[in-house]
Amino acid sequence: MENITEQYQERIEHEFNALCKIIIRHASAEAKSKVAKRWKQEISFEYLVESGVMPVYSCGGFENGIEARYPLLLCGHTVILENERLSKALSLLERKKQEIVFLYFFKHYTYQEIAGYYGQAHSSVWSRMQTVMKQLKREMGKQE
Amino acid sequence: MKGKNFISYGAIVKAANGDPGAIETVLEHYGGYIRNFSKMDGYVNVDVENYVRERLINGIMKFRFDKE
Repeated sequence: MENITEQYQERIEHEFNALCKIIIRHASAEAKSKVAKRWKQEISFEYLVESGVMPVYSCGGFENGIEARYPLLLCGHTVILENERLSKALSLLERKKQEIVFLYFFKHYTYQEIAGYYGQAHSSVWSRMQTVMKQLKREMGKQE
Repeated sequence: MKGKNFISYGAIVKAANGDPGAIETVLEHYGGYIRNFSKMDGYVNVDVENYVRERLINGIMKFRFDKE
């Protein structure tokens, strides 16, 4: 270790300093672009809501105005549906089935995550989902 | 290093070997620089700052001394 000269140490100090600054600059640019991307989406949503141009969660017509939405309590969260039949059919489901629908369609969990949550295999979550779908379809058909 | 404020060679060696105290020293040393580069719309963004710190720690651990 005695052959480490002062010049060498100095060089290492300079190199290290340069490296750190480069990392900081690059990482900040990277992070900023990510955050900016997120902000862009968020701001555009806010703008739509504030200006009242259109509700965020709709792509269908709103002939009857705001009354045409059906709030439904799922797993302690209020979700707003636009389809009366779907809303009724969902409220008729059992609690656990409602939970799966809520986790999958409103929380956007994957089957794998839901399976982990319930401690089941993901295939059984999948087959349960198929059952739920069939039941929903049946219930909605009945109301026609 | 007259007039210039660099991290000492000893601290660099320690930090590159993963010494938490030395890494903390490096992070503190570049704290102002990091915050300066973490500003978005004039304010320091905590998400950006944390990300930069994380990347810096990874970078420090990968620092190699090439003895020619």
